[in-house]
Amino acid sequence: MKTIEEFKSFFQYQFSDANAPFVIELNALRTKYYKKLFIALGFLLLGIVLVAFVSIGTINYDRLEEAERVILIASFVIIVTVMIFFFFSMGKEYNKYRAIFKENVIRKIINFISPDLNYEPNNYIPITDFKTANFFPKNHISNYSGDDNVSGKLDKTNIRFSEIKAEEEKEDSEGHTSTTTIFKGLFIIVDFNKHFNGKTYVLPDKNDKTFKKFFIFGEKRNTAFGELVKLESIDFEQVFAVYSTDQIEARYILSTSLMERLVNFRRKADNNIFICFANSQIYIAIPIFQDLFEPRISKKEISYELLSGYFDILRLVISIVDELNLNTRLWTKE
Amino acid sequence: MDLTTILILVAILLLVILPLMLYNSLVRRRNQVDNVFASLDALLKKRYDLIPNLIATVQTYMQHEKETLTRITELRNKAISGTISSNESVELNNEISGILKTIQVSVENYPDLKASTNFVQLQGSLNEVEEQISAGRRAYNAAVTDFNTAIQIFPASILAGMMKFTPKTLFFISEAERQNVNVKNLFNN
Repeated sequence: MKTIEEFKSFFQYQFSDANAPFVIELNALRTKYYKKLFIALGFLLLGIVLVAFVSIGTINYDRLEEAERVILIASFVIIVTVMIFFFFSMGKEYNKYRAIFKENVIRKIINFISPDLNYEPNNYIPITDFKTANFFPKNHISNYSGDDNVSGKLDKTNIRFSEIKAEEEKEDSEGHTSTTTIFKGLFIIVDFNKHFNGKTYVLPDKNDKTFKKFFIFGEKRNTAFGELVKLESIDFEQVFAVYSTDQIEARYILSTSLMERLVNFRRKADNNIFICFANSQIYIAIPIFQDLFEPRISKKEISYELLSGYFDILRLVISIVDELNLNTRLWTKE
Repeated sequence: MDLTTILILVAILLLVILPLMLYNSLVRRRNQVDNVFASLDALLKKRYDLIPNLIATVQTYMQHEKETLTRITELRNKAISGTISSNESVELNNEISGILKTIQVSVENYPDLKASTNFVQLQGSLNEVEEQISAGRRAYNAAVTDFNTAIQIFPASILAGMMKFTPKTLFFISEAERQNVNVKNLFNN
């Protein structure tokens, strides 16, 4: 596993040269982007001024002659069209900028972490896998999208992850549709080292168990995720709640050492994590508010803070394989 | 209907419903214990089935461990004969676990055996079933603890006393077994 010091020198070597071809290309695109932005804003201002003149009466529309009216309307239409064109073409520049950034920066970082990893900026884990994990059974997914797909085999363990956004569209009684985000963040699929048949969930503990434990029949034992599994590890039970279709299998998967490792991983991630064991794989969802692996076009230099942040996240995800000891294959699964 | 009648009705309802709910929750917990015990039994059987394979694979190589192999065969035959009590079964299975571990360690002395695909596969299956058994024991202990706690908490304790629900005993898990069996580490020492 690469350290942050190694990343520092990698960064110095790869991204500090202002004359590197891709840096020049990025800067050219940035200049174009800002030029178009200023032109678009200029036209927007012009449009606003025109509308203002008409509305405060500097230009009295009623008193204008036919020809003048046509000119006024035509110029307004032209202003709006040009503005839209420049905003649109600015967006295109941004997309080019983003593509070059991902190809030359993100791809290099992923390669630096491990040459066994394959990066596809515009691909993502299909919805079927997200639905298999079914972390949010109460929500209906209307929109599902993503990007930054990374996949590969680290020693014996297959890993795949991408940035995912799942949304739900709801219509209220008055017919207004509102969109709420069900999940936004990293979705990870890793091979597990043991075979199993059922489904086991390790979810953030909402701390409602403690109160319900007081009434012996008040505890919710059956949920959409399966039956509640009470485990021995106090540290583990404090942060996670486990549900499974099979009490024994849940414990077969969650060995004492794996429980400890999950607690450590949770601490390192410093974030809520949702885990589902199904089809002999681990599905992990980590909600992250920030858009990941995206450039910041406003900055001229390639920012070390931004990239080291991405590096930390990538390293955390890749560390799952070692942290959870998934390359140890003592059982029948190869 | 006046207030007193309503209050009396509510009180009666509570007196009937509460014990019913308590009773159901106790029965559910008792059944859970039985279920897990049955699953555990199935896992032990799975291991009995692996033993003849193991012996067939290792006996041509392991000339010095003849006694161990005879002993484990004996234990297995006794276990599947069906004439032993559950207490005996626990002891017997503890001994089987111990012997299986010894065999796996002694394999280190037989490089040919250690490398044979047959054995590698068998070892995988054995590790798997061992861990499933240990998971089964943990599940059993959890179910028993749950049941025992439930019948000791007031007011369920009164009902449990009336129904003659008695606490069940836990499986003993030795400290060594609590650790994940890591055969590689054993061999590296």
